[in-house]
Amino acid sequence: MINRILAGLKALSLEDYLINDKQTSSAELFFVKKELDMRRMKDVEKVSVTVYRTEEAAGGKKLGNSDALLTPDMTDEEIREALADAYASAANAMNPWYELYQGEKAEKITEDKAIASLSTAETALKIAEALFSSDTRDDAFLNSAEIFVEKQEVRILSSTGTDVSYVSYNVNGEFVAQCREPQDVEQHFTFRYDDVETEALKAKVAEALNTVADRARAVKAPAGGNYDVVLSGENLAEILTLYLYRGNAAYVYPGYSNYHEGLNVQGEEISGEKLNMDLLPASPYSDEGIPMKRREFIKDGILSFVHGNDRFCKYLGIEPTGMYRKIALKGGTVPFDEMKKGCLYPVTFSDFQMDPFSGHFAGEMRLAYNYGENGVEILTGGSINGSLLQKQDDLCFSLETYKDASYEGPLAVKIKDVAVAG
Amino acid sequence: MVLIHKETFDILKSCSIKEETERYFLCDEAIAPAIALLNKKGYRTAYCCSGHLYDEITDTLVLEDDFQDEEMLREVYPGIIQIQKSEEGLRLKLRQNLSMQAYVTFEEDLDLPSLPEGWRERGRSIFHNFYWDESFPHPYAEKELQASSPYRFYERRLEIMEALYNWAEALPERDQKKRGNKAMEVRSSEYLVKRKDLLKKLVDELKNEYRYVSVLAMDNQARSYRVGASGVSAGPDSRFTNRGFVVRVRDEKGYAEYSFNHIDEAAIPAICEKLKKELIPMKDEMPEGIGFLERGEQKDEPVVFKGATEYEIWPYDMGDEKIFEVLNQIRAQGKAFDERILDCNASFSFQEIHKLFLSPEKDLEQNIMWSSGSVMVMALKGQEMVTSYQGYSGLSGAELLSGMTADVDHVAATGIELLSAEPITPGEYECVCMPSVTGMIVHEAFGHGVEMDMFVKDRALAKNYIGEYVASPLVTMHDGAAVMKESGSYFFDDDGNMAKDTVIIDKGILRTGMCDELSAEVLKIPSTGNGRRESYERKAYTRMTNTYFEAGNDTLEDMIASIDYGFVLDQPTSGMEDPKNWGIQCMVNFAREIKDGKLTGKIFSPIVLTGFVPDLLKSISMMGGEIKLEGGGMCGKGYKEWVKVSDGGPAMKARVRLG
Repeated sequence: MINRILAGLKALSLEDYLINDKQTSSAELFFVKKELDMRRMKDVEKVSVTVYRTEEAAGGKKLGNSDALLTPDMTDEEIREALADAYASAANAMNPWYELYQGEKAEKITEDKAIASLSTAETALKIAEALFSSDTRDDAFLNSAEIFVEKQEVRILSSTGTDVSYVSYNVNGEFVAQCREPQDVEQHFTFRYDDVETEALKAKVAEALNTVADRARAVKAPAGGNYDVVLSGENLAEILTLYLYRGNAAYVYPGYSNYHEGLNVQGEEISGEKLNMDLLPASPYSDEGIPMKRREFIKDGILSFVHGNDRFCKYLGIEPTGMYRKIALKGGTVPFDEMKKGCLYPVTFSDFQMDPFSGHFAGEMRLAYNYGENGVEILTGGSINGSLLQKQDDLCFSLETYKDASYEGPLAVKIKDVAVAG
Repeated sequence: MVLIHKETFDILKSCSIKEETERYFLCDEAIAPAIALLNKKGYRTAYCCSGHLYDEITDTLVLEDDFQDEEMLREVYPGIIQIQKSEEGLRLKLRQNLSMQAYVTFEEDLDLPSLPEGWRERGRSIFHNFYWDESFPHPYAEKELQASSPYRFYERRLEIMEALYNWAEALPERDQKKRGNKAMEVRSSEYLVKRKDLLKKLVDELKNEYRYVSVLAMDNQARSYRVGASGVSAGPDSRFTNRGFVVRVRDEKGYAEYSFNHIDEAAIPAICEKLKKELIPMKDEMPEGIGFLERGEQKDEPVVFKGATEYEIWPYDMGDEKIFEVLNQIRAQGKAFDERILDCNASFSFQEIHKLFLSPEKDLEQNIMWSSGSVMVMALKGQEMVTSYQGYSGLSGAELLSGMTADVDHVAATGIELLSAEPITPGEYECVCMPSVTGMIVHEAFGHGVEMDMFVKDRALAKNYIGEYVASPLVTMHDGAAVMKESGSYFFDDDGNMAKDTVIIDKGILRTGMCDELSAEVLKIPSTGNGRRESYERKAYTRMTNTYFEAGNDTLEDMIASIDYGFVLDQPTSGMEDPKNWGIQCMVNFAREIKDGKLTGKIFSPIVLTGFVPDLLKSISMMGGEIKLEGGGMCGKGYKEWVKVSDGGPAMKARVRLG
C-alpha cells in the first residue's frame, strides 16, 4: 500500500508528507463468570498520511497540514483524491512555519519477547488461563472479564528521511471482581502489559479479590473533614500525569503551562521529598518517527526538559523528543505501613481523575481504609477533592514499589490535608 | 480541463487525473472559476461549457421557441447534424467546433435575481451564443470564421467568462434551506454500495456453515476543525472515521466475530478460512473449568429498510474556509471579552455515518449525519487554569455553527467569575441542577445501571427493582435512538434491530432497561435496539442513545426561590457509573450559591457530586418545563468503547451531596 501512496503523492507533486502505516491483528475473549461469551479476531490495516503545505504569507512563511486516512480497499484514484483533499484542506489550516523533522532510516525493530513467538490466539488463551487460575476463593470471584491481545506492525515514512518500522505487542483487558457477603459488591480492574505477564496478572487478580472482599464489609462513609491521604498504584500514577501534561510542549506553547527547563516545578520551598522523575518510551519511535528513549525529566524538583512533538518543540526552540506517556518515579523514603498510620487510604475510586489544567484531583471512594488511633476502619462512599499544585511541596513516597504500563516507582504517596466529603 | 471537488467546489490546481471521479467533476478551465463560485454560493450546476473552437465531438444546443423554422435554422447553424423537439425546446445536435455557445445548466429551477451581461436564460440554463467578431452575421458563419484570427475567439470567450464570473460574484449567497429535498438527505456511501454484492456473497458462503451469520459494514467519515492558541487544525477525525466490516457467526458454542477492512472476490475464501481455522477453534482451547454462555436463538426475521437523516447545510458545501470564519469569530469574541482570558478555543466536528447490515433475511441501510461544537474559555488563576465551556450538538449539518456565536460572552463571563471561585464546604444541599447536569445524572447515575448486558453479568442492582419505585413520581425517563433527533439517533442498531423509544422509568417506577441483541437472547426478552459498537473493530454492547427525563411544570426561578440555602449546579465535566451499588460520581465545573431564595453571586469550583442513586432520584421535588439535550461528548463503557450519545432533561431540584 505504501508504494501506491508514494505514487499518489508523486502524481500530485506533493513533496512534504509523513506516512504512518499500522497493521493490527488481534484475538479477544469475553467471559461472563466462567463462561465464554464471545470470541473475536481482527486484521486491519490503516494508514494515516499527513500532507504538509508551505505558503508565503504577509506575516511570513506558513505551514499547513492535514491528514488523509487510507485503507487497503481504496483504489489508486481514491488514494489520490484523499491526498488531494488533504492538501486542499491544509491551505485552510496554516500555522507558523517550522522545519519538518529530519528523520533516519533504520532496520525494523523486533523485540525478543515470549509474546513474539506466540500467535495472538495462543497469548489470549494463556492470559485467560492465568486470569482464572487465581479465581479460587469461595467468598469473592470474577464476575466477568475481557482480554485483548494485539500485535501491531508499524512503519513510519517521511519526505524528510524517516523510514523506520517496529513491531509492538499489547496485552490488555479488564475484569470485575465480585463478593456477595455480607453485601453484594463489585470492583472494576484493568490490566495492560507488553508481554505474556501471567504471574503479574495472577497476583493482580488475587489482590483484587482481597480488595472486593474488604469492600463487601465496608458500609460506612468517612466523616467529612480534612485528612492526610495516601494514594497508591494507578491512583498515584494518575496524579503524576500533572507533570507529564504540564511538561508537554503542546501545553507550554499556547501558555497553558509555565513549565520550562530549569523550573522548580514544586515551588521554591519544598518541605517534602523532591521529585526525581524519568520519562520512559512506550514504543521505539513517536508517531513522527522521533526515536524515543529513557530521559531524565525532573531532577530534585527541577525540570530537565520539555517533551513534545516536532511542531510545538520547534516553536519553543527546543529539541523535539516525541510525546511521552510513561513515568518512572525515583525515590521513596517511608515504609508503606508506616506511611498509612493516621491517614485515610482510598484504594479504589469510581473514577479517580487528575485535571492537568486546574491541578485538582478528585474521586468518589469505593473502598478506603482509615488508619486511626483506634485501629483500621473499612470505609466506602464520600469523595476526596484536592489540589496537587497546593500540596506538591510536601509529598512523601513509599519505599515499596509498583509497576504498570504507564508508571513505575514508589507504590504510594502521602498528601497532607486533603478535603474529604463524607 | 480542470477538476472541481463535488462537495467543497475547490478547483484542484495540480493533478494528473483526467476523468471525472467519485469526488471530482471535470470542467472547462475558462469557466471553472465561475462554476466553482456559483456552487459555493449554493447555485448548484449540472452542466456547463465555455464554448470550444477545435473539439471534434458533437454537442447539443437548446434553442428558444422563435427558431422553429428548420430551413432557417440550417441556414443560420450550418453545423447542425440533427434537430429534435424536447420539453425544453428545440435541441440541435451540432458539430462542436462550430458551437460557439457558453452555457450553464443548474440542478434545479432557480429564481435568478439577474443575468450576466449579454447572457440569456432558458429553463434551468443560462447561455450566451457568441461570435468571435461582432461583424459576423451569426455565430456559425463558417466563411467569416475561417478568414478571421482564431485568437479573437479566445478574447471573446474571456470577455464572456469574465461577465459570468462578475455576475456570480455579485449574486447573493443562496439560502441553503431552499435547496431541494434530495440535497438535504444524507446520501448513500458509494464505497458500501459498490461492495454490497461482495458482502452478500460472503453471507451466502457462511450461512450453510453456521447457525447464524450477519455482516455489518460501515463507512463513517468525520472531520474536525479547531482554533485556539495552539493554532488551527482541520482534517479527518480519526476517532470517528472508520471504514470496514465485521462478520458475526454463531456455532454450537456461541458467537464469534471477525473484523477486517479489505474485501474483494479473492478475499472471501480467505475470510471464511480465517473463521474456520483460527477464530472458531478458540473454543476448543479454553482453560479448564470454562464453559459457554447459554442463550436463546437469534431470530433472523425478514426486514428491508433504507433510511437517511436530513440536514440544512452540508458541511462540505460550506467549506473549510467558511467554517474557520465562524470559529475564528468565536475565538476573537471570547478573547476580547476580558484581558484576563488567556485563550478561547472553538471547535466543530461532524460525522457522516453509513451502515449496511446484511444477513440471510435482513438488508438494512442507514445514512446519518450529526455535528457537534464547543466553545471553551480559559483563564489563569496563578498556576491554576480555570475553564468554562458550552457544548453544541445535533442531528444536523453545518447549520449548527450558526447557534454557536450566541453564547460566547456568557461562557467568557463565567470563566472570569471562576477566577474568584472557592472550594465548597462538603455537605448535602438542596440544589438546582441545570439541564446538562440533569442529563449527566440521567446518564451516569441511572442510565448505565439499566444497560441490560449488566443484568446478564449480575452487575446491576436495577435488575432487582423492576416494577418498584426508584425515583420521585415526577421522574419519567426515556432512552431511544428513535425518540429524539440528536447525536445518539439512528434507524437500526449494530445488531440489525430497529431503534425504539424505551420508557425506563414511568412516574418513578422502574419499568425496564435497554438491551442489545445478544443480552436479549440470554435474558429471553426482545432487544430494545441498543446494541452499539465503537467501530467495526470492536464488540457490540448495550449502550445508551438519547437518554432524558421528561419535563415537568416548574420554572427555574421558582426552584431557586424555593431554596433557603443551596446551589445551582452547572457545566458537568465527567461522570462514572456504578451499576452494582448505585453510587454516584459526577464532576461539575461550578456551583452558584443560593441564599434565601436568591443567587448571592458567590461561585464554588470544582465540585464532586456523590451519593446513592435512589436517594438522589427520590429527592427530586421540582421539574422544569423545558427539555434540553446535549450530545457534544462521548460515552464510554468503563474506560473504553466510546460512542456518541446525548442526554438531558429539564432543570430539576434535588438534594445532593457535594464535595
